[in-house]
Amino acid sequence: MIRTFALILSLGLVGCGSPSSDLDSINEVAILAATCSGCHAPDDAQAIVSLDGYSVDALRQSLLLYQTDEGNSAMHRIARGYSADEIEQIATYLGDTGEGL
Amino acid sequence: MTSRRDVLAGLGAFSLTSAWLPRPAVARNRASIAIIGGGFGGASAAMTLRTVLPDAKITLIEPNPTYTACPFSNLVIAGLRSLDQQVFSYDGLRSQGIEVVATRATDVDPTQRVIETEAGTQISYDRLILSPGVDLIWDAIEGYDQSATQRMPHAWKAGSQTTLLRDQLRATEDGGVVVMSVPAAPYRCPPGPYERASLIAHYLKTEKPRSKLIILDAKDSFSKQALFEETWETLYPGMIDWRPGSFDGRVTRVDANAGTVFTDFETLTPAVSNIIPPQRAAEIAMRAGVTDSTGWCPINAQTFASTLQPNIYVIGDATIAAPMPKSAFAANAQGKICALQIARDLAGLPPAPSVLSNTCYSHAAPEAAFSISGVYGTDGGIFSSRAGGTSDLGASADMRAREALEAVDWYSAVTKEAFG
Repeated sequence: MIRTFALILSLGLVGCGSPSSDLDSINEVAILAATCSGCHAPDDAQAIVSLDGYSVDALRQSLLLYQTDEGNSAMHRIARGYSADEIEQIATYLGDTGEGL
Repeated sequence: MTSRRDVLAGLGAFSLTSAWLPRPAVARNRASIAIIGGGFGGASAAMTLRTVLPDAKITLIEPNPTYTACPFSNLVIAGLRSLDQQVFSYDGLRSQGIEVVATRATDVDPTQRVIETEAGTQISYDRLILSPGVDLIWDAIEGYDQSATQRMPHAWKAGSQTTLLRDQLRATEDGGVVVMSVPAAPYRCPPGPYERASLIAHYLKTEKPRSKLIILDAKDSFSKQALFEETWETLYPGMIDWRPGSFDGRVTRVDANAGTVFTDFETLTPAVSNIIPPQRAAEIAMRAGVTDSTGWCPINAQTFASTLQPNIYVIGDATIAAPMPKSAFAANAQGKICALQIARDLAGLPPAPSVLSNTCYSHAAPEAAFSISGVYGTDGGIFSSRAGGTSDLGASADMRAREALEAVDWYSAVTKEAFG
């Protein structure tokens, strides 16, 4: 009885949901990108845009431009604190791939 | 070019190849996680935990029935905003299934993992996040105790103190002198006193043009100093007299009944005295044994785990996180990252590398603001400064107005994220 129950439980662990979707929310890139939503709300505001709907390419190019552009907004200063690899990861994580992520 | 698949490859060990090994069952994790303190740090941590650990028991312990936010409260003092706009309900957290317990945590037993509350209840936890904020240290300035705050408001915790200071300014006659006392670092919101000075000067210039503001500062320099001094010179010429610590700026004593403020060499009896006293981590942090001899909480920068007690994490103003400032922005970022690292730990994953950032906007005038930003690494569990800086001196009015709009957007985003 107990053995059967344990077997069902273990099958449940394998079969329920998608483990990768569980982990997506706590993976390394999620942690790297966690601060973005402190300013960027789901909807556009007066001066700070929503990141929804931006493609991976658009986010990458925008973040890289903030790094090299001569401007000095808060976003310029923040972008300069990330490596090219980190920007790539963040853009890939937050960018809209058209796959309903 | 890296694809999403490549980015996830680090996880691939789980998602692709470990089908027959035990998986981190995040969705089924029923851990009990308690959070003490419902400010920006605690509320953000609770909301993040709720998202990533849907089956965990998440309890937020906070004595106040609503939260009154400090960011933007200097606008309230200057009569430019209502206090109502600073107040947030915890119903947003409750609607997500977070249990919000309206009582004060009075003690923590890190060995038994039990919290004692003022209501006489005990709350046990698997993990505890402390986001207790600061306590004002009474009598650090002789004579400045809790009763003195009714005559000489600190207004460094938003609420009735904020409106008291506003009302005292309103009641002042034209020509009346206002004194602000600013402590040595570290304290909550490093540029806050100077934003307050700017907005009080705006109020005086508009309503009481013969009045003046004296800032008695225990320090010799301060956050965004060049920007504030430029503002004071251009917008409020001759109105603000900033006296640094080495020029007799340190307030040593007050007599609240007489309305008198003393420095080493001077005695002032202003119309309004705003005394911002020295601060330390709130008392519950001491009770939990997570403070060191400085009165603040040492933590691992990557995880926010206390370096002094197991299973306890500390976020927000109570931490030793320099060069990160004690700000709402920082508390929100720390709360989210701490929550994600706890979820990783419960799932059997090692802490992930992290990068934190901060931006503090300060209003120079109602529709003019400037900012300071920083990006912080956490390698080896120690904070480092990766990048940062302040707005340009001499920026156009358009740029200052643009930053004031960004400040409004940030406030809207961060309060929504923390309180729903």
